[in-house]
Amino acid sequence: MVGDKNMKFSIEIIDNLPFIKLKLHHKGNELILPKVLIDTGSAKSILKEELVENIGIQPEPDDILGSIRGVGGTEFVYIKQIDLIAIGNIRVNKFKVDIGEMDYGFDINGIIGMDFLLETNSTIDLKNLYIKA
Amino acid sequence: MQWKEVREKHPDKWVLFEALEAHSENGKRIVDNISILNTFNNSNEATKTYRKIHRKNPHRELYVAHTKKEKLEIEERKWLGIRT
Repeated sequence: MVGDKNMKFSIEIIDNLPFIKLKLHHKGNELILPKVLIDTGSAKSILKEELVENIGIQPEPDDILGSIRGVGGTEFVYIKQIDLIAIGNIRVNKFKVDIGEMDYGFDINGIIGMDFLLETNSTIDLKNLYIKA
Repeated sequence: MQWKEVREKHPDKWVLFEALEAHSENGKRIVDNISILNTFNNSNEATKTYRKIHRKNPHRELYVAHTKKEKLEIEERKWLGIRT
């Protein structure tokens, strides 16, 4: 699901990493998450549990679980289908995303991975610092 | 302990548990032996307690699940990390 043509949304570089602002709609609530990393090295997207709790996203008995394992340990996540997730006008309805603690020792509220970027055919322009679809 | 036993002993509860033994199979994490850390009536308490323990011990394989689930279904992700 691609947004309007030629709409561009700014990327902020912090510590040499690209961050965007992410918008979530879920069950009639809206949440803006700043400091969300765009990561073409991540297959799946993940959002910080402590923040999305504010719009009623929380574990439910039937959720599928996930286990993220690697350098630094292991992390439990649960998988949620969010009504809408968007970078500006680049949006996907009913997007499945991991929800986890994200205690990585630096200030980050989510990771937008290749699942979102491929679905939206996004272009990341690092010369002009924007993302468009 | 197996998940089946956990369900029988703690029906309709949120359970914070550690996977003492587990293996990976076709992109799924299969838990072979479970040790229960605590049980809860609501998920918020369970995830809060998870965070507290996980921050001190990031290498322990901990999960929060509800015993309504007949089968533990755990998708596996590999994480190489963000490099700063």
